[in-house]
Amino acid sequence: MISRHLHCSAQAAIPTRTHVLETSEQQASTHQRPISVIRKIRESLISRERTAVEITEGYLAKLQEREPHIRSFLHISAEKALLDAEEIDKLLSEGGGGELGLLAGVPLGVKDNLCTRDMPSTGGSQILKGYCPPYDATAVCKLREAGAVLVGKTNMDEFGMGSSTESSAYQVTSNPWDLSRVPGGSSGGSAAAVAAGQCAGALGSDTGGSIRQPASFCGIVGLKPSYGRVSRFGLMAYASSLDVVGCLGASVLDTAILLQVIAGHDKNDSTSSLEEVPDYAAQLLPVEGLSSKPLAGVKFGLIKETMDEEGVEEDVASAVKAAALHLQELGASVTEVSLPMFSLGLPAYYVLAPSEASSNLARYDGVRFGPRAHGEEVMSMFGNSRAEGFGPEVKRRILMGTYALSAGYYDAFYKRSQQVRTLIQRDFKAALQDVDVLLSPVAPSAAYKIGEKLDNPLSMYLGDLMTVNVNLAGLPSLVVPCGIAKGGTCGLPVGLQMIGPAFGEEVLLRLGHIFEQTLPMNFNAPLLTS
Amino acid sequence: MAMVSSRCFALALGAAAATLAGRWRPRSSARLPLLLPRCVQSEVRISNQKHARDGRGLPRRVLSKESQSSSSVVADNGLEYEAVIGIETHVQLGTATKAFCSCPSQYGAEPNAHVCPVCMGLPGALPVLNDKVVEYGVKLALALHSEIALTSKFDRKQYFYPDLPKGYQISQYDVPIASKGFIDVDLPVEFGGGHRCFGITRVHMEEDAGKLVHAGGERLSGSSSSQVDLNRAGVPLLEVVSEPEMRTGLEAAEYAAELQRLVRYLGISNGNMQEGSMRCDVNVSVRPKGRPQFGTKVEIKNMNSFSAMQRAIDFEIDRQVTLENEGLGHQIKQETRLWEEGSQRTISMRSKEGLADYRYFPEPDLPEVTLTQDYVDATQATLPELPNAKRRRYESLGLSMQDVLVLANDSDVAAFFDEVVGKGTDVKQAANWIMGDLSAWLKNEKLAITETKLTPAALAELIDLIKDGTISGKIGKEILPELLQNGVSAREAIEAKGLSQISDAAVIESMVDAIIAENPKQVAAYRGGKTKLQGFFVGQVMKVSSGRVNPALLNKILLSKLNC
Amino acid sequence: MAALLHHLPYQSMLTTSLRISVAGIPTKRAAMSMCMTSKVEPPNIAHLCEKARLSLTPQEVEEFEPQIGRIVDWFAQLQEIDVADVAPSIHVGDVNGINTLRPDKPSVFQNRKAMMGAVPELEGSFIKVPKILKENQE
Repeated sequence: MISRHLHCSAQAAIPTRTHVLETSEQQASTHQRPISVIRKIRESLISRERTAVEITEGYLAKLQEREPHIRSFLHISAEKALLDAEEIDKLLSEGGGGELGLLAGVPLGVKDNLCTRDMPSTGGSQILKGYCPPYDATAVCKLREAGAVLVGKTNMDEFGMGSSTESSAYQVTSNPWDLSRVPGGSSGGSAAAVAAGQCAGALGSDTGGSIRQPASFCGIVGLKPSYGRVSRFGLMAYASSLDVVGCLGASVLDTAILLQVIAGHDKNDSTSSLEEVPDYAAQLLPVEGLSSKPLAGVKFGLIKETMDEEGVEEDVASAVKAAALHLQELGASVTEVSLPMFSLGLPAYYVLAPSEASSNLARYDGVRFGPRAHGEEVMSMFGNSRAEGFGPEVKRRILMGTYALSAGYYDAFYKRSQQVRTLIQRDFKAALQDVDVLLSPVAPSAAYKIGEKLDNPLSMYLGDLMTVNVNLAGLPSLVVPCGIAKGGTCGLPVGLQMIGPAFGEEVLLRLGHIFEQTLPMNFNAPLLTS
Repeated sequence: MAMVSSRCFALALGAAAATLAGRWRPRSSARLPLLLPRCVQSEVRISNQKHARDGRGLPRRVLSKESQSSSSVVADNGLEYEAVIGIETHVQLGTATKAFCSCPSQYGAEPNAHVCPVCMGLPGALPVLNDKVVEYGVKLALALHSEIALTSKFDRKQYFYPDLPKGYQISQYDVPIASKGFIDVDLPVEFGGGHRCFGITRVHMEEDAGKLVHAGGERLSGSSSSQVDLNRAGVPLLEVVSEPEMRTGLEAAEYAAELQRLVRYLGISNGNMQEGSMRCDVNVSVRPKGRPQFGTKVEIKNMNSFSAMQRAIDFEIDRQVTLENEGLGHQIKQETRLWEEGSQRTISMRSKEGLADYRYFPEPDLPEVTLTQDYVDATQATLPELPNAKRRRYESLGLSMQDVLVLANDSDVAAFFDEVVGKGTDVKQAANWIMGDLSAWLKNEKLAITETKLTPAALAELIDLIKDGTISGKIGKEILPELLQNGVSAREAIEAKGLSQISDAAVIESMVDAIIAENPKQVAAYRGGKTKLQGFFVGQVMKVSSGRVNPALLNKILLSKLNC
Repeated sequence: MAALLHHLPYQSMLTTSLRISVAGIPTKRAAMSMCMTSKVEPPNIAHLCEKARLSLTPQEVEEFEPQIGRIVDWFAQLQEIDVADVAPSIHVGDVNGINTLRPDKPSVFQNRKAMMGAVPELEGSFIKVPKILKENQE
């Protein structure tokens, strides 16, 4: 049963308005989903309705006001953000309207595993406490070149290992929908920040669902691009063959604009694709102009293995089924497809990702950067620095990975998982021959309580079932809020996962946009003042 | 960046001498029996040795009995043992940048001057392969007659060490760029000569680690801290692994020398052991001759020259055979030993009990290295004439093996020689001049053959002028420095100094007459029986003529006049 | 959720094959033919800590051992599938075949000072580290 959140705030996401509980009068008048927060900012800049400084100040004020409740930021860069905003205002006053970057004056958050030259970058870990990288990640460079105003670094599970942001070595982030619940992970800080209006969008990373699941838990849009679509240069590596940089936003169009800016080949990343970057936002038109059956001819496939009664909560299943109905109403066909290897994706992922992580994290040894522990001789210095610097989840995964790569075990674990990976890729390829886009829930449930899953790592892993296969296949995936589950004060958001063929972001964004804009629901996190 | 130093020619002769001088001398201690390597190979004329050709016309190795080593070691109780030696060589490539980042790759810079996030292993950094590394890898692979893998991949070799920034080394594990090659080696004449053909198991690309310097002395142990310099971290290496087919320290040293020669010929590395741009680790084991199973393998490191390699290996063979022979073979542990130049022995470094687990897995940050056959063929076409082919060609010109080895050692010298001979000059003369006077002058001036003003044409002319009698050989030697320093031609030098040889009989006769007239006493003494005084008269004529008189003619005329 | 928990005790044969390279050379890795009817060797945490340079406390080791053991048991389901003739995926998508080589042209990293500034202990321009014990030499 989907409970519509009639009691909670529903409003257009115009940056000037603060999120408060509103009267039902006000709710009824504003049911139209915002098409783009980023576009709105741009319009008000160009029309001189507001200055970049004013916009940034507005966001920073909200950020600071809500931060004690949410704790989504590890570092807030207020001064520099205002300086950057001033630069944009200067550009505007010099008449450079035509030269304004796509993100000029837009306040954004950056997940703390993306290197930023002027801000500390900890990866959510103590082992990088106080570390300031000497370079910007390529994705960050591109944001800056597009004129974005970076307000700060967002909280995350340590090095991306986790699904709730509870594995951060610094703080636990709260879900704006219910402060006693997790925002999801590992990009929980970015998701919470966007949902709480602390920034207009944010960058995250996704290795096994780390953008998509928090987007679903926080009721916002999350985009995991195809592997190689966005440069990984400057992204602190967790699992090199699975990691991608992606974006979170208040709407599909927002994520499309963000993707437009960060996508493209990078000569510093040998795994980045030469595939051309299309104009992702161009096809995302206002839905008023579309026919009554805008999705006629589009074929969706709902993945059977993700709708298992025992594997997904009722509310979530209903929300997804309702979403399927909605797509059918728009003219699309929705059939059931089967990916027979589906269930093996989870154990394969948990062999591969920790294996690669155990290697990628070997560089954290206290020699060249980060805090150094005491050691009489170098190996104990290594051992102590790493033991003191890494949290338990990271340690577990390093040990698991070391085990899986050990001589004599490699074939049974690592190689075999890579073979299972090939089979999973085949499944997806076959399914995407019959349908255009695959559908599934994002997670078995909506956001759970903080502390609920900390006892048993394995049960936490099982929550990744619906997302990891997409990383194994390197495919793009878009998460759009589609329903509300029971829980919290106003219910908890549930996201719909849409999976496309490799480099099929254009299709996903176009379809996702239409879905979002025609869905008669708003997803605004109720933020209760303390 | 000229990585091939033809300075080595001048040193080559010295090196040959050094090898001789540095040859392992039996220890004076009476404890160890004296073991003499028995070289069963005699010098074989191998200019007619032809390698079989494969479908593409490239040489395939022919395992003739003559080119395989069957040297053995005889213990003092008469039992014969065979040493099994394998060599792993790391060649530092002379590229402008490192393997996976654009940092300059230069020797001798200030510590940690050439670093960036990639080679320093900072969070978020990613490797990007240098195209020259692939090119040099293919060149060496072709020069070693190996099979090139058109698709190869990189792997991570994982271990923790302060000079290894990422905690892993990017290398190639199970699909290297090349495999199954061979190398032709000619053993020095002074050690009995002979030809060998050793197998090459594989060639692969990898990156170097940084450098560790130890506070409080040279030795690692005993220092309270260490210092890390990452300039070298990420410098590209080619690792060449030989088949375990060498049997003596000499063969191993010559294998290494040939590999050095090869990389210098190809211009891919300066192959300098002292600088560390070429490093050899050796594996040595012994077994009773005829037993198929290998003995316990011991790794030896820290040899900084070919002669050190030879001595270290011979010492180690000695050590192992002695232990085996005394029934103490179990004391030979699978371990790494260091060669100590000071005490001339190998010492235990650490036990290799339980091989290190490097947890290799394919490098996810780098795509496979894909080569086209066209690329390989095009690279093959750029290879110069390689040392072995050159040596065979020089042999066929009639030069002695000794001369062949010297001339073909350095590609610049060989090129010079080829050009001189190309002008039609007498081969032996050309060889003698280059190896003799020219080499001596270069050594003295500390110059390489390419750094003088002497052109091959000029040398050819000089030799011809001596041959046709215009000047004497002695005069030739005198004017050579002119040609070297000022680049004048022989003719110009002769003209300038008026040194052309006098061969006109009439002129010589008048000179002789004059000297005879001026020295009646000596004439009388000569005619009285002191025939040794002929030299005196020759000297006088030479003095008067500034040495220009044709010696043979002079003697003829002098004798006829004195004896009349 | 119960259906997702595959705690089957590992009974089937586990064979590892010799990794033959593309060029046809047998690899250095030991060809372990692990034909076992009993469970896979459980992870030895202390031993793994040594390899991974993690100086865990005894409590941590005690805590992690059963957790990791359970996860490894859960991996067992991967053995049930037939993967003969299936190539392992090292890279996804069109990563291979792209010309990703870099020309051999030097460039100096501009922000070297910041990099060296982040080093915990410097000695002149060297990075200083504690002494290295003999048994740990590479």
